[in-house]
Amino acid sequence: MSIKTSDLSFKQRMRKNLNDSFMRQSIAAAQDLINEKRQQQFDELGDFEKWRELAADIRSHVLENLDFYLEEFVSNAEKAGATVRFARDAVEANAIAREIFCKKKATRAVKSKSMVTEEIGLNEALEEIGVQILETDLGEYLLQVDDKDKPSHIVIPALHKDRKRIRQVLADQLGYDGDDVPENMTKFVRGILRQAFLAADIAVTGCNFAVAATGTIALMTNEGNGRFVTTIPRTHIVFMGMERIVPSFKELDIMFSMLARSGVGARTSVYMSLITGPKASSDVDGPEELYIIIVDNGRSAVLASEFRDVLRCIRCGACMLECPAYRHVGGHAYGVLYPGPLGAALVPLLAGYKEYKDITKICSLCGACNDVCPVKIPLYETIYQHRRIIAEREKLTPFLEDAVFSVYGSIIGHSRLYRTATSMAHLGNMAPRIGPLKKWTKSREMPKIPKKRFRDWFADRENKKDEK
Amino acid sequence: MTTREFIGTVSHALGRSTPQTPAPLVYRHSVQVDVMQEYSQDELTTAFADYSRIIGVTVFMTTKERFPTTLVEAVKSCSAGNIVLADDPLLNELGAAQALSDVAPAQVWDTNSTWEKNVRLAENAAVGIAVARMALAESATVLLYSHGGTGRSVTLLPESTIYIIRKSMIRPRLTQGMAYLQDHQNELPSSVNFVSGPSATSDIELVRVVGVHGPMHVAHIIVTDL
Ligand code: SF4
Repeated sequence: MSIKTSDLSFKQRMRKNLNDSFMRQSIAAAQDLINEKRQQQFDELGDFEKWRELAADIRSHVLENLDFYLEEFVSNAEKAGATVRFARDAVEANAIAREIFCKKKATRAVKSKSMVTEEIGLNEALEEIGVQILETDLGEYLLQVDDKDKPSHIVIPALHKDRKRIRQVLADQLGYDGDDVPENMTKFVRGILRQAFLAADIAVTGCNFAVAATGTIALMTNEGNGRFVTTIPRTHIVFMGMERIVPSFKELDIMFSMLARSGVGARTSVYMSLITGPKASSDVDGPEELYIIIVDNGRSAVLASEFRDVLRCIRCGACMLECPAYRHVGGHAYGVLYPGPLGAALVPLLAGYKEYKDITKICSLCGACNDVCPVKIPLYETIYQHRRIIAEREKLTPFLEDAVFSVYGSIIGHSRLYRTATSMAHLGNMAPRIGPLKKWTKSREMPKIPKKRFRDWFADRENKKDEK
Repeated sequence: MTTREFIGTVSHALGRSTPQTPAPLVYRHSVQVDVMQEYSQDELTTAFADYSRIIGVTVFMTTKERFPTTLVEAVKSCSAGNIVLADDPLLNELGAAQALSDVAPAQVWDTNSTWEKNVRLAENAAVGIAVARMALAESATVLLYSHGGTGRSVTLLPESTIYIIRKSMIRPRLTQGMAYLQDHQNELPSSVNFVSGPSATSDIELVRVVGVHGPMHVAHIIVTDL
């Protein structure tokens, strides 16, 4: 995969996804369930605002001093025995990975869920040189065996698949002959993946956080695949987005506490593995070699830009689960690896306005994402600013039509009022937040906001176009 | 690309030529240390045990003296089969291996033996037994150093894991766990794990399923006079 996950046009993606009723229902159900759990967790913890202020302060501090902390991290990781490599972009990162695989004559790899390896298209790069790389996160694995289907959420990648589809795929691809009960299907996959773990030459992981003071890599998983891949294979390669740093364990506490709660509405993940260097000579198991590949891939440009705050992101997925537009169109409609408000804010920065201008439109500027982001990223302000730039500087869209009150923006209300996926009845306030628009709107009038369901609106718009 | 080139690009993005020592990171709030601050050790223990049960962990309370009997009881609550024990001084002191000799074939992780033999031992075991450094009440988490005699596989490959927990080492939350690591950061083992209950997934229709890659059952034995 890479940042781009679909070759369909924006319009085709919209049409396809708006007509996928199972997907729409499962997204709605997931949003309701996880949002409620998340809310409960933070209510129970108390002081959400203070917690996220701490988390945001930590992330901002790290970004402002990223050169210093990276240097410290690298020095400590090397002291602990890791080999650290640097990659300016996807091509360099993949080349380093290939080089390690060739040197080790490795042909079998297991991977624990990692966004940055998806971003650089690692699987494809390794498959080209004959390496079989297996996803070990259950959701990612189910996508991989289903003809490399694409994830629809960054934390729950197979959200759009129902148990019937999963049973069918397991039967067709792997000869599964059981029923479609999740327990039984999971048990079946457990057996297959256990053999893969035991046979793998190399483990590939991402990195949730990297501790500068000790050169430690922190991996969070619930399934235990993060532990597995760091236990059995003799070589471990970590891919790390360069902004993943925390100064010390003290900050890791705050970040982990926010990530577990924001990601799936749990007090903690089942496992957090802290890896500092390869195994010691007194250890029996664990990798003998640890490589850490630190990836820029557009991040330093974001760091230098007015959009630095976006790099605070800890990939929890809360913004998309809170987003009414995501609820309507689903993750695939964005056609990119990072969907939802995060995607609309980040992807144009990493990969350019020209190709990714359309995803900034899947947003009503309602601001629900800002309210839940555990690191207080000004998401809707960023998306709005992108639209301005796309219209004014890049001249890619007429400003009045798309830039401010994006056509999509006008039909999606505030998520708190927005209860089901299919009904928009009784919506009161559907307006975007005025905050960031204040200056701009001084000289212009606010448009009327039509009270219509998104899919009806989209269908109408398409019909009108066809009539023309 | 060299370290210097890479760091140089980052410095450049930040508008300088080389890294500068950061101003201290100021914590505006202390919410993390406030959690369960007023709890007594007994209250922390109760909170830890209660939340352990909520996440599906079987909890046993015992004393050093009753430990052998409790351990047998705990093993019987797990999947039947071989047992792998961490090579840990506390397990020796409590007489774990002797207690299990009549129950099931129990073997100790052997740092003098090979990778293959040890991993096979763990892979063929139904139960793994290890000692937690610390336990965290808020999330029923154990802090585990996976190194030396406590091989990473001991608490990962068998279907069930039993953690031995010293009551005196139950602390409020991750904040204290991380402070412990920070205090010991010069002798950090290559693998440290925070573990909260059995391995789980919700990847199929958000239905929670226990036991994906790691253990399906977890038991906590809290030793109250340790
Ligand atoms: S932008 Fe904020 S809410 Fe969205 S994934 Fe990143 S950290 Fe989470």
